[in-house]
Amino acid sequence: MTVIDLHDVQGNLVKPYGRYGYPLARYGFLRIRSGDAARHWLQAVLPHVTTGAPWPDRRAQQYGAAPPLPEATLNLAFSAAGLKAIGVPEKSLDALPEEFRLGMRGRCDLLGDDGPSAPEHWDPIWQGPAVHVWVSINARSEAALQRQTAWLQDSLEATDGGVELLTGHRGPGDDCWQEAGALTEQGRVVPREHFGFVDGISDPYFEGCGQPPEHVIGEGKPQRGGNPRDASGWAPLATGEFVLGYPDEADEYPLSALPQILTRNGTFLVYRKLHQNVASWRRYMSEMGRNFPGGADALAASMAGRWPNGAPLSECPDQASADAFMAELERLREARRLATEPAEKARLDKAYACQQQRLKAFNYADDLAGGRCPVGAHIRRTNPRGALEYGQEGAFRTPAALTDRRRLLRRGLPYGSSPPETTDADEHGIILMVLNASIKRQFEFVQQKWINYGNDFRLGNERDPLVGNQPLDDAEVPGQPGGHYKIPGGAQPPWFCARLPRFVETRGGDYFFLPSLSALHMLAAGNVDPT
Amino acid sequence: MSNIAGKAYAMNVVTPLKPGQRWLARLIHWLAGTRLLRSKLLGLRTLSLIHYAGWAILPRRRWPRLDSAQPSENLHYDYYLFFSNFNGSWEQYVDSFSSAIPAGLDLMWWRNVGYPGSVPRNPFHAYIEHNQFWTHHYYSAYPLATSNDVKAACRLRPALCELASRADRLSAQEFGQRYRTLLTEQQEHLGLVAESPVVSLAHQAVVERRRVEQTEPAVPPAQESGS
Amino acid sequence: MSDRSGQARSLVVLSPLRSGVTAAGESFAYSARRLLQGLPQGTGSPFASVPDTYMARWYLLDDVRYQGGAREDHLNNRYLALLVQHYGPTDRWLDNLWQYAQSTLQALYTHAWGFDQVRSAEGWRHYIERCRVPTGYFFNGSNDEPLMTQLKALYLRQQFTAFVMQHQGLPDTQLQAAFVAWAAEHQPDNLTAPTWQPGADTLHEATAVQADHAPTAQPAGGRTDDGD
Ligand code: HEM
Repeated sequence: MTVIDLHDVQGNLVKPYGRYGYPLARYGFLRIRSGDAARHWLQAVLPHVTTGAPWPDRRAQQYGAAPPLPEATLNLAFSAAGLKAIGVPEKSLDALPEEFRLGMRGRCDLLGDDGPSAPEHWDPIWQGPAVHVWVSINARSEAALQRQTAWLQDSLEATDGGVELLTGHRGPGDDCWQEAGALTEQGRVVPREHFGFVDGISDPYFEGCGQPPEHVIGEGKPQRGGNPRDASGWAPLATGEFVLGYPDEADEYPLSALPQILTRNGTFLVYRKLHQNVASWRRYMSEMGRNFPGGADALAASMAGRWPNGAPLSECPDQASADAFMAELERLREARRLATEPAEKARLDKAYACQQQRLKAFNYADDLAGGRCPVGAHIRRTNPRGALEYGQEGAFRTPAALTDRRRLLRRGLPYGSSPPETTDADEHGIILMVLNASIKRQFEFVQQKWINYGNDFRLGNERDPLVGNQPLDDAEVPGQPGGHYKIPGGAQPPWFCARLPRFVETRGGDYFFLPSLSALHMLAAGNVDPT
Repeated sequence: MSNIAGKAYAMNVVTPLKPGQRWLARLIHWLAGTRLLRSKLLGLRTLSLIHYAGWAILPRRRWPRLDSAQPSENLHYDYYLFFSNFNGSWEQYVDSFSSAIPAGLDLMWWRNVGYPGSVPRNPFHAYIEHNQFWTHHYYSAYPLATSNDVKAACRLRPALCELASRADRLSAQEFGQRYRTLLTEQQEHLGLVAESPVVSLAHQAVVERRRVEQTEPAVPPAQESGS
Repeated sequence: MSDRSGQARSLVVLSPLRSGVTAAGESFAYSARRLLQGLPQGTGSPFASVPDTYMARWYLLDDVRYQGGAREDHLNNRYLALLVQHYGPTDRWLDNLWQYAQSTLQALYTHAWGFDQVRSAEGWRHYIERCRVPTGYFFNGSNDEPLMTQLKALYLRQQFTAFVMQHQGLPDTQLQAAFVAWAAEHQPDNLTAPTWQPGADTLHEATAVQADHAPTAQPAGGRTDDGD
């Protein structure tokens, strides 16, 4: 059993902050003008970097039994150019993977960033030379966000221009931060994104991640012969798929730099700003949804693989069952909150955790043709679970052998707002952050082969209906968008969505390395020595 | 030089067999075609990334010699010639083998000198890379199609022929029913193809080269000495 | 030993290249490689006019690789490797290759030992027999229909899927009329036309050439590359 030093990894690696009560975020990018200044600055902020150390239970804090959680977090990552600028020797950089060194812009053809997603249309901040440092702040309140920002900006000002906070996010004001935050409805934070889906449900479970063991159900890797509804059907993924310095699913260590301590307990971070054409989405859903059996929400669910309320299509075939599923979850949450008697509370806690886990506890092995969850739906493409064995029990070493090495830790939050009268041109979307041990094998593969292509699902050139880069021109009718999507009908004919436009466009991003605390310390001290 | 023809990639791997293993390798090749080993190859079929692939064995003393003036070969090992036409990128192909069907792969290769085994992945990658030969001219009859596309299309056609042969003689209602039955039964075979997306930087280079070739007049074969 | 999997066949040929240099003072391997490099791709490939060619390639085996820590082997000849996967009898395929790509074969194989005697399809087959390496195991992950059937099927799938999308939800009478018209236009039973052009790597190219080439679709009368 792998044990990770959670005090040495950065906090965002093991904690999706949004779900821990930090609904507000700011992302900034730095350019290093002086290596010395950057090392000084890093030394100063290092003690404030948020680690993965377990946070005490909220209740324990209420009773004063534990130190309070930080009001705001701080995390840092470096691009290849940034590592060089802060003084990492060429020899250490050479060992780092090609895609990381090329950066997102250099890989845009593979990522399908063409047309409106092409780098020349990215935000101004991506138009200059490569950015060096990614800075992320998550906060529990607006005031905490402001305080943390002010403190950080002061620390940068103290470098006298040695480290510069870059502008150009297409934001308001001085525009040096990409603002992001959970959406709100009537002043209440909701875990939804702009198309209306509950997001942030499923996150890979790996050895040593520090999450409760029952999270393995539906979030680990599928096991042969087990039941997908309970722990017998799942096992934790190898740590090395997400954290460098530990064995991965191929029984070996992922890449490491020289010296090894530079990469151990670190990982790679993909920052990608995805604009959502919310008005187009709503229009398409309402127009197509008129003819689609079950209406607009059912159509949306067929594209995502989950109902807007989060219930999985695999478990809930219609709106009524989806509503009942989530109502039960809500009921248990409420009952648990109100319970006072310890035994009763323990029972309700368990029941709630169980229902919560049912949101993820499915495998597509019993729905190969996609009659329940379409083969091309977003969550089925991005994590096909056991589906790629195509029911040929035993064909592969493990049922999800083709999936286990393509899993992604997702972090990030929506940005902007999307009121009813919104247009496609408004600033809104998702800041997607992906953490993985190999950007090429994990993030890029999923983006290329599973989001922007369909052959692994036996779907020809069909793309992800939600986020794929649909052809801008239909082959038959130029000027009309050319995406298409097949919704299998089970015992009925399939339903086809034609003229699917691009609902999501890339607005910029890059590849970063998220060092451990030890590595940050080495960077600050300027003593990375590969020989 | 190009290993890529649209959605197909040509792989050639030439490796030495350990001494005395040729007969066993032959036996396994023979068994692979029979029921005994076919289940071992179920994984290969399920991967469905491959159009056609094959293994040939070249005994060390039987390299083609066509002329007494031709130098004869003087080799220590028998050789294994592997070829494949697969869909997707090199990494996807090699990784799929390594993670999904390591046993089948080892069965075919473990009698090879220096074969590291298919897991862990990095030594296996290095082994294939080391022994791979680049293709100079590669042709696929359907660069737009993957093996999955060909199979799906060939299943769909008979149903279409059948319905087309009688479509004008049915009542509208009967036609409608049969049409919907066809769609239901054939739904997994329906789909559209288009040009391959860029799957690797090498692929990108090929696309670029094709673009240049198409805008400039094609280079004629160097010298048609026969004509 | 199996060079076949159903009706699909595998052909593996290793032709030793001549020692010494060409009249132009180049090594035979260099000259052959240059020639291969210059061959047109896709629909222009010499293989595109040979009926029932699924996939084919040429590569140069210039040596075997040393594995380290083992005995060191090196080849005394360079070999031109021809690998083909095709439908139906290999003799027929070889005859067709000779017929449709003779000038390319002559230009290329004059670099090889033992080819100078080849004057006819029969001589060519005989030559190949001497250089052929039997395939031990041939894996067919696709299918073994004749190429024309495969190409027609691909064409139809594309056209029919588009049809289904365009006519979704139409009343039966209109649907029937539309389908009858569709079938008349695309002729599911007619393997010759309309169909996909072999070797085309864009949809446009796959169908656009039809107008010019439909009457000479293979195998009735594939193009020869003589005199092009
Ligand atoms: C604006 C763009 C996107 C939107 C609106 C979106 C929306 C969603 C939603 C609603 C879910 C279901 C909730 C959940 O399981 O957490 C989901 C899951 C997921 N998405 Fe996305 N997504 C977007 C972009 C992407 C991209 C670009 C990737 C990958 C490169 C990705 C990878 C995933 C993965 C891995 C899952 C979890 C699947 C599972 O484990 O079942 N998403 N997304």
